[in-house]
Amino acid sequence: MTAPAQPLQLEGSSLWRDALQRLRDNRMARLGGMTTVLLTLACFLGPMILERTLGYDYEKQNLAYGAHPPSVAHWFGTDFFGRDLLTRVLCGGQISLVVGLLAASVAASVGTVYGAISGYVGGRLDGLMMRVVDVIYALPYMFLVIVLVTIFGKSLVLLFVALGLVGWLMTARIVRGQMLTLKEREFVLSARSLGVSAPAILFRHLIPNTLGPIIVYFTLTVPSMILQEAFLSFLGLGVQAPRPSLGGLINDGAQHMAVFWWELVFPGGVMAVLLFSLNFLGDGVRDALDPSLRGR
Amino acid sequence: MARFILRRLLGLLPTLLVIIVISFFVIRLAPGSPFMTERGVPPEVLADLKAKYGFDQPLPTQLLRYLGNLAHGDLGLSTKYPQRTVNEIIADGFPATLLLGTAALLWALLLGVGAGIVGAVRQNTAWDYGFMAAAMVGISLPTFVLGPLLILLFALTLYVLPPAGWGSLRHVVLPALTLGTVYAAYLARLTRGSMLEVVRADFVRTARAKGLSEPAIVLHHMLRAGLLPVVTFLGPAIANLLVGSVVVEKIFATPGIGPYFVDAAFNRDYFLVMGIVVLDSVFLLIMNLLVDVAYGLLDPRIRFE
Repeated sequence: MTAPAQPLQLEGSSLWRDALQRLRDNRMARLGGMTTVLLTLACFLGPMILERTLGYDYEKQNLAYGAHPPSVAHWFGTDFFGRDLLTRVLCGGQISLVVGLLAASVAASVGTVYGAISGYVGGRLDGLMMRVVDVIYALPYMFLVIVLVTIFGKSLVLLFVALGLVGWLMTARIVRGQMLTLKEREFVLSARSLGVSAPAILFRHLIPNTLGPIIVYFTLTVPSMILQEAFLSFLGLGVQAPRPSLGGLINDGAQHMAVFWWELVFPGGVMAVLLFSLNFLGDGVRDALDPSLRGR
Repeated sequence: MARFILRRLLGLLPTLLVIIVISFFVIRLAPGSPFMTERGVPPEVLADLKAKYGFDQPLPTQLLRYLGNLAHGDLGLSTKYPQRTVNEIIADGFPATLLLGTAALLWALLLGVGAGIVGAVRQNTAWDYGFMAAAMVGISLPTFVLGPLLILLFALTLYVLPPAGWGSLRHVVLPALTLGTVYAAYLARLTRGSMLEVVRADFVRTARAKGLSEPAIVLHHMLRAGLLPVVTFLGPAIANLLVGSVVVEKIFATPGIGPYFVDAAFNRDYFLVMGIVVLDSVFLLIMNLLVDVAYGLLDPRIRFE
């Protein structure tokens, strides 16, 4: 007796589902992802909770309670002006995350559109557009950012723009390279013969096909943008007091570290953990979407 | 090869010119003036000052004059330090920056390439995982966190190294470690990755079949192929050391040119800012050229056109 044959259940697996599975299997990436989520939650909810329950906020000074080491009431201690350091670190982390995400998004969108147009149109326009990228790439760009920020005033908006505008070059190059091969493929030819307009081909057919490398590069851009914002804030060019930023807090801490070690160790530690987890997550995303690069 | 280098050097000039022109206009068209003080300057004095530095001329004339002076190696006068030329300021500070950068680079190469080789040759062992995890920590520790932490540990707790200052080799250790560690981390990952690509290559098996010793195989055959991406990374990285040293020199009170840059931009010290931008660009361009030359030396298949 044979049992009636079960219809074979075969489930197709898409590139994205494969990638997600690989990402889930990567222990370090999972750890990085979880830490990132926890830190993000802490940075966005923490200050609110601390304010509701204990009445701490990032700028209210309490000079009688200045520079106290970590205690039950103030887990990270207080700074020179008696402000709760935990609140300030979390607020700083909030700014870092927002700056990192926004600047990386600006960079990714500008770079994608620029690279896609350059690669798709090709010819003389392509040559010209890529020459522009080469020249900007050769500029000593951190110096230019410093010049821009000192000259045009220190606003948060300008910081996004300055960071985002110099971060798009790599994305543009990557996307252009992809375009050059993609645009010769049959599906583009068939779309064109059906009368699809050039912008529609670009945005509906070509760019979605380059999403993999774009996402990979985006996830690795976020930590580098956060790092650069902190770099500028450390030099006193980024976020301005009394608003805290991780770079600014580390700068304050470095000046008093001989006496008030907690002012350096906690902001520095949070910054390092944030970058660490984002980098591991980014590495994992790259390995997941492009397994041939694994371990690079 | 000499012709190749010469032609490439000439090819750098237009790029450098574009960089100089863009930087010049960005800096000059920005609001603010180098002669702003709280009290204000009497108009006659201001006119005199402007005439002294040539700021009374139209911008294009000033640009041409700047380029003309630059061709003679004259970087102009500092407005913030009226007694000194930009050449003098750079000549004063650059040796310290150069020493710091060189020490940092040596540290990065030794640690980074070494760890990368071990990681690749002993792939998927505890050594490999350990070094690569350490590299990730290195990449995630910004200089401005690492530097103060090193001071806190080695200078203020263990008392083995000076916390800041300059003068003896002992003063170079901490800033060089701070500046070089990030690069060591990147180098370790790059070296490991590219060495892994050749670990199972045919020429390595041939070398092994010939009976070469393991160190000879690794150092002579694999490393040479594995160094290409490392060299690519090194060119821009060396130029970037200059930017990194802005922060490191501030932390360790090193008398280099780094801290001048931010101050110069704040003070609208036009010629000093331009001087440092030019210095950095020349550095970057030359390093990229050296990378191309090194390619040919490392990989004979790459020919100089």
